[in-house]
Amino acid sequence: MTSLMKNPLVVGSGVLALVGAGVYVYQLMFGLGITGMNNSTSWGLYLTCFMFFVGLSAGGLIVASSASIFGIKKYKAVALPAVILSLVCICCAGVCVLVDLGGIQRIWRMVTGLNFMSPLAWDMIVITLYLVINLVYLYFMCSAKADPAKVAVVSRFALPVAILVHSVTAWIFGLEIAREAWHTAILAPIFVASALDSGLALLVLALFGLRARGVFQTPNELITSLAGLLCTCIAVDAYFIGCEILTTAYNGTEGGLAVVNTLLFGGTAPFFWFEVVCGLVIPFCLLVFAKNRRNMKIVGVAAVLVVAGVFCKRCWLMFTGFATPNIVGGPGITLGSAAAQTGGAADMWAIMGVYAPTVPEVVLTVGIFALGVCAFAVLCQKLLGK
Amino acid sequence: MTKLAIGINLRRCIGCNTCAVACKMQNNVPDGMLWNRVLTEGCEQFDGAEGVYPHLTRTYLPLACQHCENPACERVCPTGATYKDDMGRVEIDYDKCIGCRMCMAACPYNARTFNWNEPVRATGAAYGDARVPERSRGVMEKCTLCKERTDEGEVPMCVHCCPGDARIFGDLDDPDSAVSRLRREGSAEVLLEDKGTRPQVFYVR
Amino acid sequence: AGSPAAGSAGETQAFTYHNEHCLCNCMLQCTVRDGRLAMIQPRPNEDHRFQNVCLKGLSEVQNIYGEARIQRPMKRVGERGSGEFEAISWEEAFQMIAENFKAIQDKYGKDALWIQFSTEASQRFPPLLASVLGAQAGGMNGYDMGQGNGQIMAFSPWIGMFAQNTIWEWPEAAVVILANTNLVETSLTWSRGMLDAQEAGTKFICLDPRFSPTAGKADQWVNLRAGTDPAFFLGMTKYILDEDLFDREHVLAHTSLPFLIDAETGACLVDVTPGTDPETGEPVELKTFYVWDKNANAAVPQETAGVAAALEGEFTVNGTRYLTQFTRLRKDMEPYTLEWTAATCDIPADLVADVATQYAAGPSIIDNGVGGIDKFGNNDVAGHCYALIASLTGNYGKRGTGCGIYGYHVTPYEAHLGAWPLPEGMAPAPSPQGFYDVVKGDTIHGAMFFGDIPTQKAANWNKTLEWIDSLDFVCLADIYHSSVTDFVDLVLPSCSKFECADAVGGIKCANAHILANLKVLDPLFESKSDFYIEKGIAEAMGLGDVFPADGEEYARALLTTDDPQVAGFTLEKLQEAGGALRLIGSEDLIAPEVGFTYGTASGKQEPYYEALLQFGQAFPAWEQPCEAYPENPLREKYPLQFNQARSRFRVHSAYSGAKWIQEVSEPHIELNPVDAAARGLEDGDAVEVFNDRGSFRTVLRLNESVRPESAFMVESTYRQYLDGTIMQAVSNDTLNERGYALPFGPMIPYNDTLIEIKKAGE
Ligand SMILES: Nc1nc2c(c(=O)[nH]1)N[C@H]1C(S)=C(S)[C@@H](COP(=O)(O)OP(=O)(O)OC[C@H]3O[C@@H](n4cnc5c(=O)[nH]c(N)nc54)[C@H](O)[C@@H]3O)O[C@H]1N2
Ligand SMILES: Nc1nc2c(c(=O)[nH]1)N[C@H]1C(S)=C(S)[C@@H](COP(=O)(O)OP(=O)(O)OC[C@H]3O[C@@H](n4cnc5c(=O)[nH]c(N)nc54)[C@H](O)[C@@H]3O)O[C@H]1N2
Ligand code: SF4
Ligand code: SF4
Ligand code: SF4
Ligand code: SF4
Ligand code: SF4
Ligand SMILES: [Mo]
Repeated sequence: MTSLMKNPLVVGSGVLALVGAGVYVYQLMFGLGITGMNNSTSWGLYLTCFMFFVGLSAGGLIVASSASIFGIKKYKAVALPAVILSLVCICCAGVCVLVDLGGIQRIWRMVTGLNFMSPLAWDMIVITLYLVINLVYLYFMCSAKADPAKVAVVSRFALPVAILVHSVTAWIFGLEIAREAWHTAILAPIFVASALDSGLALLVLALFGLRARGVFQTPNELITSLAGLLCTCIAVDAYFIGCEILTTAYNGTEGGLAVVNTLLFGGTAPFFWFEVVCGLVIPFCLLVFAKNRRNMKIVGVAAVLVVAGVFCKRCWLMFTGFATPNIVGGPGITLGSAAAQTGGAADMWAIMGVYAPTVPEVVLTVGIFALGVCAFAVLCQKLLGK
Repeated sequence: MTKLAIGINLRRCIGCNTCAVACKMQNNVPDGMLWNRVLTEGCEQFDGAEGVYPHLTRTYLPLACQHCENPACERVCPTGATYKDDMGRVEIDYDKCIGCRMCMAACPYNARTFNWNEPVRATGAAYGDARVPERSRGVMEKCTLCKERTDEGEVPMCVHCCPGDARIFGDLDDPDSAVSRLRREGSAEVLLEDKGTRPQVFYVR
Repeated sequence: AGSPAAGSAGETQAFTYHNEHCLCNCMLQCTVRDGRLAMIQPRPNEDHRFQNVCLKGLSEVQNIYGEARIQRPMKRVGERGSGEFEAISWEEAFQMIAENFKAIQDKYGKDALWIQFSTEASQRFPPLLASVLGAQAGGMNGYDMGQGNGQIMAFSPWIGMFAQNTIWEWPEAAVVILANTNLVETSLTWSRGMLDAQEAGTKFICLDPRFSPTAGKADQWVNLRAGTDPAFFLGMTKYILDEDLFDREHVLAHTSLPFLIDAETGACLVDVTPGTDPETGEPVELKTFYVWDKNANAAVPQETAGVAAALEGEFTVNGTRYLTQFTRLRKDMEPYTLEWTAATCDIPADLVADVATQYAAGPSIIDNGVGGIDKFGNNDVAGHCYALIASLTGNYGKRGTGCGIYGYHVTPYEAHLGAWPLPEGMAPAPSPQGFYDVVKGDTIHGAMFFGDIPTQKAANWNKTLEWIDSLDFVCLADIYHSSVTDFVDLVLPSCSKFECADAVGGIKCANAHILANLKVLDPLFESKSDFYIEKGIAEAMGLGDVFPADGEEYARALLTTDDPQVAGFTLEKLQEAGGALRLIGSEDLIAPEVGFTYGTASGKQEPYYEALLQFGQAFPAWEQPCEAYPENPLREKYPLQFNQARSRFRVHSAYSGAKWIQEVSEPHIELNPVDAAARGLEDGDAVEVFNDRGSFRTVLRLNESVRPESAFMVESTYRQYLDGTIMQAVSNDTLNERGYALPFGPMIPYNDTLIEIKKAGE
């Protein structure tokens, strides 16, 4: 314990997490109105991060489990940190969903009256399953009698569930007929692809971190190899995005054009272009050369860019969906926000989707990230340190 | 079966917003939101117009829940809080709503409003029909087709108050109802037909 | 129609009537729960046309408790306009008024006191205070009668501003021209009349520079330049004459157009004999007009049996040259070619021809509103044009034809109510001037207003403010903190339409009903009804006993009348019936056909106004607006015409403070995007609107519906929503002298105003 308290990362992130918890209490008292969400944009930073965390989590586990399924021996070495990372990320994802609920006190209704038609219902099921698998996996890997056979069995489940968890998360969005930007059959593959690259990139960064702190040593060759995999994943991710944009834009349908305009030139364009340039093109160009893959600094930069790029991707995915209402007409949608309650018409309506995260919302989100960092640090110290 | 519906004759709609305010009053809708809003189609201003002066057209479009036969909102609601009732109305059981806003993202018509905050009312007190249940913070709400009135055979408040006589209420399963007759008019159409939601609110242009 | 909601325990239903000044007077059924107004619905009515409400009525559920409500009597302690007040008791307030009124009347005479009720404030019990004190009670309005001024002389009798028939006759017309009326907002609940007629096949043509909500509903829109309606109708008239589209038979049989007039002076050839007015018994001049009989080849009295009157021609009678009015008409109309009209109105020439052709084919109606051109210097010319073109084309007298205001004209019935008997000789002092002139003079030394009269009934606010400053004492009774509140010495809180101290707070006749303002709520805050305010002042001046004891006594006096339409109507019956009783015998809401005999000198339609020869307006002649015309050099400084009209969101300034209405609409000025771009202005900018008279601040919204080179704003709101400024600061107060020679006096040219707009603070 004392050693944990001496770890500035644990202490720092722990404090931030506590601040986040404080904001959550504040949110419980005053409602989701303390966030920037409103009737035009029903989800904001919390669910964006939910998508992001699910992806990060799935990426880690896919690496870990493919190690045993496909017998990629060298990856076995990093399976444990990968699973820890995956576990932490999925927990963060869960927290994101929970803090996003307006009526958390009625959450038991999810158990008593679950509607199996709802993707959210399935997401809950799959995430729970996934969490259990992570835990079991971790247990089998860490327990004194760690049995490679059992690990292999679990990983056979883990891989499909990881892919499923990410697909179901995609379907929360992709099945919404209302949102032109989400409503595409390849949303699940798009999600999986970005899960792979962001998860891998985060794993690489985590490994760097562990190495720097002397908790866990990863040989450079392994990182180089992971970087190669990352490069491939980036390419796949880019490919899916390309397919999607082309299909949306090609026929110039009204809805399609609105989406493409928002994405390429409108409100979500900064996120889109950041992800394309910094999250895909640059890291790909960096990592496509074997020489670069051997340069740990370059790999690190590429990994940071990929993670940031995928975060941006989550943002543009989310908010492009809300940008253009299907029925356009003045004065628009009644926002229902705190400003709408107190102000007049000017504050109450929006023609297009509007959203900007508020300070409490950002702090709470940072708290969740901090919680993740803290948990990861603690778990690694406890489990890897041995 | 009963399939309650509203037909809106846009030729008779003068964009007066009476239906919007009538709805707000009847249903104790709090400040900052409306269950029923009146849009001017295809432009950014209420009372704006499409086109360039003097080549202009204007259509008012009153918009509330469409009580879809195939409600996108209902399918995605994880707790069954949103349901289609046996009168053909799409309703919300506020006690079951966990405030996840799946339904809100799913509704192609932006028909739903959420209690992001503690509901406040400029009057400082509840108004409207005493039979309408209260909603609390964190709960989704929307047009109920005036459940409390239509349960008793009364017409919805927005229909009752419409100065243009533009709104017709009735049972689509009764071929002789005024609303069925209006729908048989050639120009009756539903909004966003391609979304497959099969709205029970329809518009005559 | 639906039945009223079943009342739950602890709920009561009560009835009242709503606004007069939106001209709908809706009968309302109110639900009171726990002592608060919880719900308003239209009162069920067998006649669906009178089962009405609009958003403003419904918003009262919130509005009467709203933040704009004046809650208690307040004495001004700061500078005028500072908004600094001190609460005082009613007793102190009445005392203060009594002392000041007495001092003023003692010093300057009784008529130096001005007590005026805004239209809206006079709709409960008829005001008595001015009569009791012998004060002036307000003269001519200065608005809403401009086109009426131009129509009345052709078709007397003429009920002021209204057409002779009701809106329900519209399905019988082939064409209805909506001239400067935004019917769907300003006759909101009567829009059904238009919509029903449209469904029945009547074609609506809307004349409006702006693509108004009504223009959007009409079948055809004529987007003429503001202030040019007379030009449009003159162009139509010329075209109708040229293309022989007029109704020759009608003109010969029923109009004065064949009458002979002096070719030089324009005076009619007449014999004048003394007679008596059959109604008043007063001595009058009886006139015999002459026509040229083609058979006899001589001028003969127009009524001569078997006369074959010449419609056109120049003739010599007793050595003097005479023309028919019709011949003069052709000459007078010569300048108004299609090209001229198109250029003047800034619309395509074929649009003029097209509307003229449709109108002439008839049966056609011209429904004029009293916005737009009525608030331009040349308003009477427009009215005169309607009278002329209707006479010329036979679109007056028979079913489906007519002109005048129809928007709010929904019943031909008007019951004659009783009155509260005041002692002999108690009457208001005569008001030789309207408020618009009073504010320019120094005859008044004290004033009391019920409602925001100073900011509404005169243009050029800064001048009005000077006048207010010159008074010894000014008092306001209002429900809401209207713009003038901050500028008076004493403010009194009035009850809303839902509150009274007695069982009944008002009785009136409207919509073919006797309506009762029955108690819905006790007076809110410390408010009193105007009746009790008046009575309180009278009491403080020792004159309280001439007032009715209470509302019930007043109501019973009003219901005491020998008008058979209200036979047997009592307060109890009104209470039983939910506050409204239909007038007996008022089933048919369409008046009988107007027919072809009139109270004019010749008994015929007389579009030739001999009395206006001195103004060059015997036949209507084009006259520019007084300020907002294209060639005005002032336009270089102030290039935008300021179009002010009413909207569904307010009744004049009322409802400005209603939160439910603020949620859907807030005060703002509108520009066409082209004009905004030229000024570097964007949607949502805070702007200043100004000219040499003054300025005000508001928010800019862009709207394609606004005619380029003009700005549009909904008339009036409280200054607290205009950053402490007043819209009236820029409006034009220049009166057309001709107005004084017309029956309803001069009109304030509010819209005949040029302005410029810039970003606020620049
Ligand atoms: N809701 C509501 N209803 C009301 C009132 C209210 O305050 N609120 N007030 C009542 C009163 S007192 C009145 S006087 C009436 C007035 O009601 P209306 O007679 O309808 O008058 P406005 O609304 O002033 O203007 C009508 C239209 O004239 C247009 N216009 C402007 N300039 C010109 C022009 O030069 N030529 C032509 N042809 N059109 C022009 C304007 O753009 C506007 O659309 O409304 C009555 N009804
Ligand atoms: N710039 C500009 N000015 C205009 C016009 C314009 O187009 N442009 N239009 C003109 C026209 S057409 C008209 S008719 C006038 C209308 O102007 P007003 O005659 O002033 O309007 P009203 O609606 O009759 O009166 C409204 C005032 O009476 C108050 N009030 C309402 N009910 C009561 C009551 O029961 N008791 C008391 N004590 N007060 C009450 C309201 O709060 C408000 O202050 O405005 C004119 N002024
Ligand atoms: S109340 Fe009727 S006329 Fe008015 S906006 Fe609603 S539907 Fe249209
Ligand atoms: S309109 Fe929207 S909320 Fe209403 S039933 Fe359809 S999908 Fe559901
Ligand atoms: S917000 Fe409520 S009604 Fe909507 S989907 Fe979630 S639980 Fe169902
Ligand atoms: S039916 Fe009732 S709940 Fe629905 S919009 Fe109309 S008034 Fe509102
Ligand atoms: S304001 Fe509305 S409710 Fe009131 S009388 Fe006028 S039309 Fe009727
Ligand atoms: Mo008026």
